[in-house]
Amino acid sequence: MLALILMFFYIPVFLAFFWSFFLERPFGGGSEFVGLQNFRRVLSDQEFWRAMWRTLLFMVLAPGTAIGVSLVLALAADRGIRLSHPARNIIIWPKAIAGASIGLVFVFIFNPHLGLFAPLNDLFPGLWNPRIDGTDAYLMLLVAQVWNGIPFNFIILLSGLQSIPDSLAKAAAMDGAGPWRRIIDIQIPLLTPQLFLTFVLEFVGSVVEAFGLIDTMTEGGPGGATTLLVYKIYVDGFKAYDLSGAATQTALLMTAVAIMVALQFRLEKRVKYER
Amino acid sequence: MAERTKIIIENLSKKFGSVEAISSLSATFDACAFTVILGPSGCGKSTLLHVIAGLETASAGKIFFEDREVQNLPARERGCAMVFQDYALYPHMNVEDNIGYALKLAKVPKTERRERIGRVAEVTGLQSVLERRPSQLSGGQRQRVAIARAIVREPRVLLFDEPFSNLDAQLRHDMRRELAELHQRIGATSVFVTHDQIEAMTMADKILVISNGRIEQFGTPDEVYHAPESTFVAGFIGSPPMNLINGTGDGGAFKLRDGTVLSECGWNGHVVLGIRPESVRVDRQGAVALKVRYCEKLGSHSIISAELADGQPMRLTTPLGSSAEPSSEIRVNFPAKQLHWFDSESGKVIPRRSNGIES
Ligand SMILES: Nc1ncnc2c1ncn2[C@@H]1O[C@H](COP(=O)(O)OP(=O)(O)OP(=O)(O)O)[C@@H](O)[C@H]1O
Ligand SMILES: [Mg+2]
Repeated sequence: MLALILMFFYIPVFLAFFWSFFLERPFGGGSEFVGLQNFRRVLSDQEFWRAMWRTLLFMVLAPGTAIGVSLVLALAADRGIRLSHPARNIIIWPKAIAGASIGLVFVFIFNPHLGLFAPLNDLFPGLWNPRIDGTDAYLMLLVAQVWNGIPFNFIILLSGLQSIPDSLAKAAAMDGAGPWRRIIDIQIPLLTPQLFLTFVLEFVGSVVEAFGLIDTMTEGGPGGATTLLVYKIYVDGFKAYDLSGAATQTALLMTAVAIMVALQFRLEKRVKYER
Repeated sequence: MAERTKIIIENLSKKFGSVEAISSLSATFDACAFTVILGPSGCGKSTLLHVIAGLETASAGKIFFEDREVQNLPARERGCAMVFQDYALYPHMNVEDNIGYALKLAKVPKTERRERIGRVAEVTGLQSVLERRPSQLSGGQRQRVAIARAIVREPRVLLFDEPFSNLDAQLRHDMRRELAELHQRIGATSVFVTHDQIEAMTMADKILVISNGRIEQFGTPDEVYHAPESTFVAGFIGSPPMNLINGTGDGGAFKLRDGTVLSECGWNGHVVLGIRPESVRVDRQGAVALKVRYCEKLGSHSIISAELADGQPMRLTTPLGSSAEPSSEIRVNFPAKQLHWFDSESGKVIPRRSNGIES
């Protein structure tokens, strides 16, 4: 296990950092140490900053929405709303569909001529067209990512809610707390470990899993509107053969993710408690 | 001091699907009294308490707090506080916030809140741990926090659901005394659920014995112990509980199946004879022969388990020092005044006066 993590995670990350200090020739023929020159080049590139911005926005919006929706569903299910059992099953389905095929499904769902939005487009031409409109494409990607994440988050959050002893809700009710207050004062604070887990996973997922979605749904377009940093790295590295640039951007992306995750861990430490 | 609130329960029923946890139960819990609900596991004690608290809705019947009908009010409008079996402290709040949560919700100003928390913390001996989280407390301290949280609002009605069942014997003993003193001091109408009869006997003003969601007896500890109204109560209370012996009343004598006469009896037909283990007198000239099975020596007294002539088991307690060898025979007397008679069909007591012995 440790060996696997080492091989598939730490070594590539290390290599990315290592390579980011070298200039790699696209068709082989050695590399040369260039210090921070790669970073200078990448950081002064407008495209990089645009992709970074899209990525950060995506990293906030996708996990936020996915967890928000899952939380509402989990709270509803936990309250024993009769939907509980059907909901648990319906909501677990999408997990059975791999990220890539979900992308295909969404391409169809969001297809302006065939999909769910076709009737709307008939009424208001040009209202929805992710192939041409960058915002629409970005939204589509976001919805697909969120959709993809809900089942897992829902299960984690629901199981977290269910592990909160019943008597706590009863005690709060006796103390005079209505359902809303109980959610805010008791359930959500006690759900912190699960919320934290889903946030970290969603976060990393919004960087990594998004690749499969972009590749099948938009290929980064239109006009680069859905080119998140992961996808840009792939394009730069494997299509444009700018290996050093790709490595450098990878290093920067990793750093950004690491900082975000570290911040979350700090937050988690502060609200930590023992049950 | 809390307002005087008496609790009146009228024909209360609670069904879970087809299971009837409480069936048509009526009782009045006196204002400021300490009433204990006693019964075996699964008999509906917690359910009854939850229905009174408003955590469960009644299927039928009425509940009054004094003259206010409350069975349709939500829990927070009833003015009850409750102590739970597993304490149910909020793990993410410190002791002070745990105790003060109800006050905060009631929008009590901060200074007054601190003052009231300080006061109950003093009463419950928690001043030094106000900053700690529940996980950093001992079992007894957690119990006290749970009690402090319940009394800080000065509730009209205090409900306890087996609050001491997770404590060890010594602590349980101490907490019993503390709670009894606290009750004297705050004087809220208290309802205390337990299946521990020692708790019931030592703390209660009145005991409500229930089984299968029905009242078996409602009376003072003395009444419940010395005048059980049914074989259930007789066999549930006391340790060891009352001996219940099946036999037949025949021509003024109580006979076992094999014809052995145990005592006089004013009844004819099948009856159940009840006698407390400590009422049985060991006497070399005694009328009844018992075969000893084994003898538990407990220091202050011994408990002898024995068999009657027809094989029915019975137990008796003997004073310090006296004991008996297994398989030996001892002779005993059943003092007529200490006998209880029960109908063998219904299990209900046969009133003493009518059995003709006492007069
Ligand atoms: N939520 C529920 N759904 C279905 N049945 C229930 C529910 N709560 C209690 N019961 C049933 O009602 C009966 C009484 O339960 P209750 O919890 O009141 O027992 P209890 O006297 O408190 O027992 P214990 O001493 O074990 O706590 C039991 O048969 C129990 O199975
Ligand atoms: Mg119970």
